[in-house]
Amino acid sequence: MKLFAAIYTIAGVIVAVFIFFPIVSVVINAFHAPPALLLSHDTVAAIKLSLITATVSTLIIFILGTPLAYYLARNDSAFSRALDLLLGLEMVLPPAVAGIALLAAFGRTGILGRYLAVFGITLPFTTAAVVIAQTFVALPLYVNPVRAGYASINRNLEGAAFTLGASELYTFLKISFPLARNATLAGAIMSWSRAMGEFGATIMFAGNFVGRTQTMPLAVYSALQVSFNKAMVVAAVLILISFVILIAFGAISKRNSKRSDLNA
Amino acid sequence: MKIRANTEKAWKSGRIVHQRGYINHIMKALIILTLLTIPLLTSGCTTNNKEDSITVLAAASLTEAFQELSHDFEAKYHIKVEPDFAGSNTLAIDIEHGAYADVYASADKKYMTALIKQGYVNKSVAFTRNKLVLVVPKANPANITSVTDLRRNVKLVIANRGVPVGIYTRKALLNLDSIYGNGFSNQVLSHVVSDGIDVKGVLTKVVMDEADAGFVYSSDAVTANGKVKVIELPENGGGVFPKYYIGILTGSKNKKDAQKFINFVLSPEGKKILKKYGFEAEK
Repeated sequence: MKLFAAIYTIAGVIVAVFIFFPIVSVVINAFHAPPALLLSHDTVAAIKLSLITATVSTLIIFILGTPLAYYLARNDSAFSRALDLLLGLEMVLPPAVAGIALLAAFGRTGILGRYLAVFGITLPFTTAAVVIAQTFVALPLYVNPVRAGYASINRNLEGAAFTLGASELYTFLKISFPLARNATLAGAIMSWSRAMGEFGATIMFAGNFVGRTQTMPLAVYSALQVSFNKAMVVAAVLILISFVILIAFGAISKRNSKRSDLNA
Repeated sequence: MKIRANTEKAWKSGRIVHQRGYINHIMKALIILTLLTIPLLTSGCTTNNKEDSITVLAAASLTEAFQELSHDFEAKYHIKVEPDFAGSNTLAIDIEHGAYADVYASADKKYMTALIKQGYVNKSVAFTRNKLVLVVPKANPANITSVTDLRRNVKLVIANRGVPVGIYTRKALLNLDSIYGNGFSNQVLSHVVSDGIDVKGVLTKVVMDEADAGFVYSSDAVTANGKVKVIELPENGGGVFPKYYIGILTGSKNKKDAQKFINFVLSPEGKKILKKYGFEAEK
């Protein structure tokens, strides 16, 4: 057992160093950069745009993904299996492929996009396209943990609600949804982080324009064309935001699990 | 702890003994796989130093031309060429951060000069030049026939101001102010819907018919294989002729072959290939 303890300690240290150094190097580099870069117009615009689009995408994902996750947890039909396969495919798809796929469907000459164009709607190069790209890639990251959350609920609790005359919707809202609270939160954070980090599909489908479609990852890449320092500063801000969100998530889920312990 | 105790209990009672062989097989496979990756990792850190090969970092706009150049060079001299393409500035950053290469070819004097100043390159030579053109999708949805049509509300894509082609685009538009009146460039720039990360980023948006027009090098228009229409700018590219520079990196371990490659690029044979891809002879 001692040998195994040594192995996992060493592995832990190697991984920690491997992750720690690149991240800390960005922050150290950013500190050396002139602070004026942080307040530059396009950096601020990118931070704002990223926070807004990632949040809107997560809300859309929450609204569409919650019923979907419940459905997948409770049904095993050909349709649910097909959906499952699609979600899995989406998850392993490289973002650049997702971007091409979105263009092929919703682009100006895309299979669906050409009909939208008839109504004067063109999605590429709009903020809406950013949200679509983020929603597309982040959806499975919400649905998978939330589905697992619903699957692990003791179904006798739902059954008890039904026997007491509660409707299916009422049961879902009052029993199932609160019980899957932690999974929902975990899924939301996962998809939000994925949306914040989205790059490939966004630059392909939505383009790269300051204030409209240039989110933080795109700003990092664009800044790299101008100055390495600037890219470092934007990257450091992105790391900081992700860090704060993770800490907040940790705090909330800890509080939640305490509460559910009391309930149980 | 509870899990461990349970597992041990199960183990002793023989409940999971039948799984043991199966788990052992997986562990063995994992360990063997891990051991196999070690030589791969170490070799991955040290490639490109072979005597008979050179690494060429070249501007994104040179992609097709340098692929053919490398191919012909390999056939002639039996020296392997490993070309890598990106924006000239990205490549310069890579070199400054320790990327190993033998030759650097830049679409702009600025980055070459910066590398020479920092000692990464000894000397460079201008080997070709390019021309800025306007491209529209083959179907030309916005019906653009001249650069003045960019005054209309069209979807225009130009390159990021950090890459040479982006700098040239803005310079050319400013030059055109003298023909079309002050404010022309501002009016055109207000129709930009996306910044291309590099010249290929601009071209892709036009080829895919998402943008109505974009400014690229004439060489890139050639590589689009008829998927775009080329509209020449007045005054031969707005009076802007980007020169391309090539030089050997001081860190190169194969300067002899690197020089051979540069000589090949400068030779009539090399110039013919460059011309084929829309580059003009350096005057």
